[in-house]
Amino acid sequence: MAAAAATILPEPRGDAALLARAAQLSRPVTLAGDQVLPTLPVFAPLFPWGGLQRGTIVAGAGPAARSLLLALAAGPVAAGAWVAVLGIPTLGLLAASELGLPLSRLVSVNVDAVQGAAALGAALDAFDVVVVGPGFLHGSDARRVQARARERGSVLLTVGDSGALEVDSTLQVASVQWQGLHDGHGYLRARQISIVATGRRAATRARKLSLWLPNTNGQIEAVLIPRSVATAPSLSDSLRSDNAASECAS
Amino acid sequence: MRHHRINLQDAHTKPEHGRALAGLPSEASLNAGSGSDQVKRVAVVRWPDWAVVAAGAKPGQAAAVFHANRVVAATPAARADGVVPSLRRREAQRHCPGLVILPHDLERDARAFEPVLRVLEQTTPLLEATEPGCCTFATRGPSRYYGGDDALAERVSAHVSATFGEDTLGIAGPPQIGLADGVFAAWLAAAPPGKKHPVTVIARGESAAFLASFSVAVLAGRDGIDDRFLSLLPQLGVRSLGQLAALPRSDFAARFGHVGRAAHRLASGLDARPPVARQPPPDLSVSCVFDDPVPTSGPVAFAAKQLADEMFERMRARGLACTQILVTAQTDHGEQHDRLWRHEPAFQPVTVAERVRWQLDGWAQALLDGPTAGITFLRIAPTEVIAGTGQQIGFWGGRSQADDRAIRGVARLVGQLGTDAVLVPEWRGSRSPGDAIALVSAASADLVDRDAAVQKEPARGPWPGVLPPPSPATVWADPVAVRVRDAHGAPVRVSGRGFVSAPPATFALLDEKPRRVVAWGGPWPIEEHWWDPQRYRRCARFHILLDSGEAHLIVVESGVWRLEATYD
Repeated sequence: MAAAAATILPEPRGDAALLARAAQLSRPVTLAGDQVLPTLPVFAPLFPWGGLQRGTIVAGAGPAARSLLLALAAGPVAAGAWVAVLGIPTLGLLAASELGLPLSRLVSVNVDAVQGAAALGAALDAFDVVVVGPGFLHGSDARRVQARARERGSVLLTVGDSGALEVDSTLQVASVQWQGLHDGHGYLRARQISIVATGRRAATRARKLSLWLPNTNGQIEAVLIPRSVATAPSLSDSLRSDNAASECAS
Repeated sequence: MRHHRINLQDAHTKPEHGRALAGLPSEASLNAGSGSDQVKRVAVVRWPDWAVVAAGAKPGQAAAVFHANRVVAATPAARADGVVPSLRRREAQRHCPGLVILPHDLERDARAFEPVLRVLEQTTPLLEATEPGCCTFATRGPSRYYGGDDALAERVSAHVSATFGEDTLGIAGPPQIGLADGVFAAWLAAAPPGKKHPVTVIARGESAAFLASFSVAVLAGRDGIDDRFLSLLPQLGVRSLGQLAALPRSDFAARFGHVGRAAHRLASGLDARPPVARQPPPDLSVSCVFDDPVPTSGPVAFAAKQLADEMFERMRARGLACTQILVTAQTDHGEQHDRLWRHEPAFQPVTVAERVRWQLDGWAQALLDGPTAGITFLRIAPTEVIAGTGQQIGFWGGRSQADDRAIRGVARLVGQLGTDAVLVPEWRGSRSPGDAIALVSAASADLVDRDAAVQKEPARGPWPGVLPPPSPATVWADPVAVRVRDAHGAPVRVSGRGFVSAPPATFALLDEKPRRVVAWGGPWPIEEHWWDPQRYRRCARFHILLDSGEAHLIVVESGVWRLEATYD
């Protein structure tokens, strides 16, 4: 059998075989694209990788940070990932559901800072997305957790003060504007937030994004900005804004 | 009890192939006609409402145990009012307004059942625990020893009642015992509707006649028989098991495949599968020695999961699945505890680990012969194997690798933090954003198929007066009192008819500086639970927006303002 195979397949020339072998050895086991959890397309401009990169820590800060992180987690969870929420007993689950996060794959863990590090380690092993409350970790625990997240490829989202964790990307909500509520009438109906994303390495350059979170239809969408102000809108963005504009007109 | 939903159509497409792989004889070679099937004579001992007993319901109390918003078990008082299993919570409360709602907890039920199993074990050593509140044993030997099936059943009933007495078993009452050919007939004999006498013995060969009058609906959940199949049968004019059994089996199997054949066999008083006279190869059992004695069941159950994974890997290599396991645990002082467990249609690694935990928890709280030292040895052996048809992972939906990982993670977190700390959401419906979705213990929830539990069901009715979306992302567990003042510094009041004394101008948490209110909306009054003095609530809700950009939901009730939720 082996002899027959050798006669059919021409023996590769020495250099070509070496090159092919080198290519095989140097090829990454997983491609960079596989390492990104898909978020809603509107969040793509916030990250250099276009989504939540596995193994990173993303901090949300500012007045609408909780809603923002829930909406960020909604993308991967809707695609089949599970999310664990640690140490945030006051989380509004109805809001999470309205922001598109399927509650069927959410687990809420009541844990204090004493058992926090061990529980967080277990959660990072099992869940693709883990959301933790403020001031959850101290000192050396933080470094261990960081290594765990990187090794297991989970994304850690921190709400508020991220403590001793070395955050890869910070989403600072700079401003919040509500619509629908007036002096004695109306109700909180739509919210417009502007986010400034800063980070390390590839994410050093500050990225800005204005969002409806949500708009009057309950959808999350980018705020239309005049073309001159917008920073290099992608084709899909401009298409979406055209659609939105025509909807507004009609 | 079914934790794992198997995709029926895919799982059973090639039963013959699986059988051939496992080297098992095909059905044709085992039985030429349906009559020659040897069916084991078994007894089923069960308390249909074991969960309410384990939950500690008092005699005369109307109480029910709910799982995923549906009744699992109810006390006699609740049953008298029309509360039956699978009723929704609201319907149950409509039938019985004073119904006490008890939480569902399989581990608690299993722990409470262990003493009963130990008493039954004195009658027969080959006792199989099926689920909390139900066990099975083969009667051939014991029946001959005690002088007949009737004598055996009466003895078991009397022995259990005498050991526990009326007050200990309380509302559980005497066990329901059914003795028949085949587990299915015995199970039905143990709890036919409206049964007065606790013991029912179906004579040998009479099982098919006994089953004939039952509706086909009793097949639900048996050996991969699903609701879709069962809803189809009445449309074809097949309403009772007798009508089903009268059809030619080969034609029925040709039309419905594996599921149809299993249903037909059960309706004919046979076991769902032909009996397999085959001892499992001995190398399938797995064991583990703990160098340091382990005092609690959590780490042992964790190890059991690893062992079960290994065992299933070996069985998969031979094309086998198991329906019965023997779990043996030994302590540092040499005490030993064995228990046979049965699970239909087949065990999974997670269900094996669960059984180990139940067994050890039950043993640990045994009064007389409980363990006096930590566990040092654990062995799991499959004692009854069947041809494994495998589990087809759904092409769309179904159970994914992420689901498996998350379920393992939940088990680990429960082991670390306890059952009360790991929670999953369940839809309840309410006017306040915090109560619309409740958190229930993940240990007692079905994690694989949670869509139904979290889905807003339109059938449950609208909630008039609910605030429109978006909902607040923070709902305060203990609403803190706040001060809401008008432009002159006087507290804002809302009259009984819903008039606001003056527009709110400032808002302050108790010890903070007042902040300016830039916009507000309300009042939106609600008056809830007027029939229940404990939960009666009459209040008015407001949205307020502060100059800092913070938006809150505040509530005034009896003149006191509270911060209920924050839109952050």
